[in-house]
Amino acid sequence: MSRPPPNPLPESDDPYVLLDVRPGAKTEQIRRAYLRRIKIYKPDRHPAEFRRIREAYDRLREREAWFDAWRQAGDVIRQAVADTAEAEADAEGEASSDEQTPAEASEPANANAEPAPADEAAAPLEPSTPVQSPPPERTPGEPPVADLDADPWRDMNPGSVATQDAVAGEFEMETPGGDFGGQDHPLYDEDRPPAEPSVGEQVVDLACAVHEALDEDREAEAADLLLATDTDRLAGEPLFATLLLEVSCAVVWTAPRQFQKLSDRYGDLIAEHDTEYRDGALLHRRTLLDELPGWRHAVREWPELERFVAMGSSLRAVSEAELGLRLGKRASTHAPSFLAALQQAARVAPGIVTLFVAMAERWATHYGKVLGEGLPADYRPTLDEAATAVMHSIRTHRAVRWKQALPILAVLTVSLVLLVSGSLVVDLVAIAVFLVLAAWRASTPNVLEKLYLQVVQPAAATWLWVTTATPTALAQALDGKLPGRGSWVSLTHPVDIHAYPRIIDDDLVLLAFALTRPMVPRLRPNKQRKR
Amino acid sequence: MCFEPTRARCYALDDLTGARIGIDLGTTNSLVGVLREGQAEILPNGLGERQTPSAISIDDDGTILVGASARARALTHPDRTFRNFKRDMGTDRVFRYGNQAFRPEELSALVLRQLKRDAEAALGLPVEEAVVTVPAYFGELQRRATRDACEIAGLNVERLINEPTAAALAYGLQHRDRECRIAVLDLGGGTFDVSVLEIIEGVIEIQASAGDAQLGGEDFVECLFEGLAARAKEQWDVDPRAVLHARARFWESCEKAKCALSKTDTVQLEVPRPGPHRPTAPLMLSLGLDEARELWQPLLQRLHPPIRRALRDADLEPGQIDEVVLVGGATRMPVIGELAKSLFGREALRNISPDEAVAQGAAVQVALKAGDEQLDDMVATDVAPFSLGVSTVESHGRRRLDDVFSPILERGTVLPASRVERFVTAADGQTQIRVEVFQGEHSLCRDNTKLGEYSLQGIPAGTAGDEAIDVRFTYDLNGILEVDMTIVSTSETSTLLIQRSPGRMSPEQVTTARQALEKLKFHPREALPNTTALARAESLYTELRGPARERLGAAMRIFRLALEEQDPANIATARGELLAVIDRFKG
Repeated sequence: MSRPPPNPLPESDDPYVLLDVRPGAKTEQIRRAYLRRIKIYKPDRHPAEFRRIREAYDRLREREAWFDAWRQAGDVIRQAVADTAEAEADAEGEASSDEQTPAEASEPANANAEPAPADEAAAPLEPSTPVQSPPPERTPGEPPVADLDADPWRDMNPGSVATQDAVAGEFEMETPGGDFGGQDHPLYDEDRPPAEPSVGEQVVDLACAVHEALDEDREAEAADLLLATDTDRLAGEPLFATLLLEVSCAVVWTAPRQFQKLSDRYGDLIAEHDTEYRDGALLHRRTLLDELPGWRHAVREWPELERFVAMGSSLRAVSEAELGLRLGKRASTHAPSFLAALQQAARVAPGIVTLFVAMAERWATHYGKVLGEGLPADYRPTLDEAATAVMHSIRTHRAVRWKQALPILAVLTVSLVLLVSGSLVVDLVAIAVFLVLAAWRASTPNVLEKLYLQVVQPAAATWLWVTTATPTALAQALDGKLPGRGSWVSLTHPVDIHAYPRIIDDDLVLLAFALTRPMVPRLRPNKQRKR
Repeated sequence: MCFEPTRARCYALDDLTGARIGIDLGTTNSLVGVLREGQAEILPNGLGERQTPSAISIDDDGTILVGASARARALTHPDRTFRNFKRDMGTDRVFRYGNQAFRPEELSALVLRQLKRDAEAALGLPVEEAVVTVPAYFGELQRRATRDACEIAGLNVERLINEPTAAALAYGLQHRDRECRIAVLDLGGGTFDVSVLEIIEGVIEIQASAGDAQLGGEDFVECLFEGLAARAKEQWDVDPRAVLHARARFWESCEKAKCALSKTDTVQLEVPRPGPHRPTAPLMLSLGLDEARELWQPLLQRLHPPIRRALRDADLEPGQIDEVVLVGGATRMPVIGELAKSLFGREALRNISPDEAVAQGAAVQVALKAGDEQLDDMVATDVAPFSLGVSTVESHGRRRLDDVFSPILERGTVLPASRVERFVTAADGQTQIRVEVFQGEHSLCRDNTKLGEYSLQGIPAGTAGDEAIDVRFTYDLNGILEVDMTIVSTSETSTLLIQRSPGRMSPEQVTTARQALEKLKFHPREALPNTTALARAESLYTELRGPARERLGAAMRIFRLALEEQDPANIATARGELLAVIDRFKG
């Protein structure tokens, strides 16, 4: 009857760590992970552990439900935009709204999407809206930027943040700005007295500047921008706090002194938002490094570990590819130190390490093959290489190969039957079966969609995250890589290979991946995305 | 036919410790299950039968009869035989005969005691621990009454398990590798329960339970009973309800008719005449299935709401259910199968024994609880069947609404669970709060069941709403509720443990009842087959007439003579003959 007790559950409150599942996992994967877990920690024998696992599972499911609701909302709004765009197709030329504030760009667009679709989209979200912080007080003339920002779903899911932005992006792309001159919208009230920029506008300006600095890898400068602002006025703005958190995350490793300055000045604000919006990712990283000597040693031996923690605790999409590449190389070149570091780390954070090692191994084998060996450690792939990798997936992924092989197999089987069997009936049956299968296959319209979701989307998502390019850029790069229409690869591909770039360009989910790096949606209108 | 008890075979479940059994304490029948070699088995009782009727009868000399012998005496001695007492668990009802009075807990304890002894005889091991099943819809009071009964019977019972959960476990044990969503409809003698569950990778997850604690097979019999008695009165001006004996016999006929309707379309049943027996032609009523269905319609309607509620709690449509499993003897009635088919659009499964599934599941549960290695790859999770909360005051401007139930741990929460809610003071200068814990689904506390209360002192005085108190409910699988109350500003925590606290019986009463039970005279186990055979013969004797009755009477006389001679060989022969006669005429 006696059996060794299971390993202790990780101390963390992070549901991903508790369930041993990677951020961004699908509902089904989360469920399986939960089932695996409770087989070890059975409710009868380990009630306390079971309770924690179940709570983590409930939290993740809630998040998943939010994400689903958002995806649905995105579809509805998108449809509405498409309809509007059709109706206003001829107004394209008048677009001259590049200079308008981002809030203006997205707000009237929402107004445009109303009445019906936006309402529908919002409906599933309302009942469970958690009240994270009271809505900021606004002065009457102020643009409703804070609305965008105070949205409680901001922290729910990486996808949701980006989807929101993606939706805004769609509007910029599809609806020319000058058009919705806002007859009865307060924003466009002509009589509004020209006042000095309100708090909201200041924050938006600041956000744009900071993002520009971050985009160009000038983290220290971004921190300086924040340090130089008139805090007392801006500190109450949720957008500011989020910005602060984002910059802190960026400088915590690259510019520790700036981080120190930021936390000296805004310590409380950072801590508050860190726990509220990101499950304490930042604190998590600091605490681990500061307080656990074993962890510090492990990180020195194996720098990737700290990224594990960051990714495990932040709710973002994971740059699995890059990580896998590095880990794979490390493991193959310095196997002993790799193992030692792994042991050290496992002692400190068992859940995290097992989780990421499994993941990294998987990706390392795949992308390691694609890009080859001998790359520098801080290597960041170019867009061109990313497109090559995606192309490689498109050509050689198992699902694609299988789809290619199917007709050949079928023909082989039928001819074999024809050759071997002497009976006419058997031959006819075989041919009939073959014809039925072929007809069925021909009449199945969603092979393209299936292949896309199974092969192209995941690959593109990963590489978008790593290269921080936009889906449009990747689509263009991929277009250049595609073989000609008459080529062998194109002919043998199960579906129209040239459709992929268009779908990538259109895919909201991919846009989410591309834009996840900055935490706040990019508020500046994205010029290059105009068609 | 032989009634020799099957003993001697000793199963060593565990060499050092005693056996762990699962008990299905039913309204009509009770069973004992045990897990052996990964299979749930039902243990035979002293008569070699798998089901022990939940009936108690008091013999002329004051000895207590339990099981089949008592069940047989329901016909001949209806005034001193008690049945269906499970339906009165948790109430103050007292069953009386002469100067003896029994609470439902005590009667259940008598059955449990018998079951325990039978199990010990069959296993050759003392019983160390047991899991007893209760209907999912049993409230806290009824559960406590069941626990009291176990304690009186001297059973170590830590865990009560819901009957549909048990049925699901039995099903899950056999179909561990499948992945499906299942609805278990459990219509027993006295209760109706619905559970919706999912089996996936060996994990049996109960997603919702609902039920009706006052709806069961006995109600279907009663329905027939009332309907047919009214018809007899109209037809012949004979009311079989008038006299206790006739009533008992007519009830028996109705019960048989109900069972017979599972197989045939029409049944004939005899209406007993009250008063002294005169040689007249028997009054025969004929009952068709359609007519019975009409009589049962109100009962069938009552099956719908619990099913709907369970599905809603599980957030499922009827079409999403992969299998419908029927459990409980009453589900043999074809009308139940039809109902399930019309609700779920699929034929209900009958491939697990409806009578034994619950006991098998209880056996699985007790093994799971002990961490049995045979069930290493199996996990079962259950949900809270009721909401738990505290009473609060709501202010709407000047008006205050008292006695509002604020649930903290909602029904359907997977157990074990812990939930916390924050409450604030309701009046200025309030320094203490009375935390009253309730269980139920009604919006006002007075409609729910009170489980306990605690007076939380030491709250700093302040304006109303300033001081906050965190109330945390931690509820475990054994039904122990821990209430932690933390005053937020001072971080002081007080704990109230509601742990199998007394139901209607105080601990002293339980102890007294236990001692009283020890003093009661029981029929010796060895004599049980004889007593039962005689009781059955007696019961049949009242029904028969003419030569058949004489033939039975002769066999009974021979058996009684053999009993007086006390020669074991003679007794066995005579009993065999008597049983053969009973079998022949019972038909």
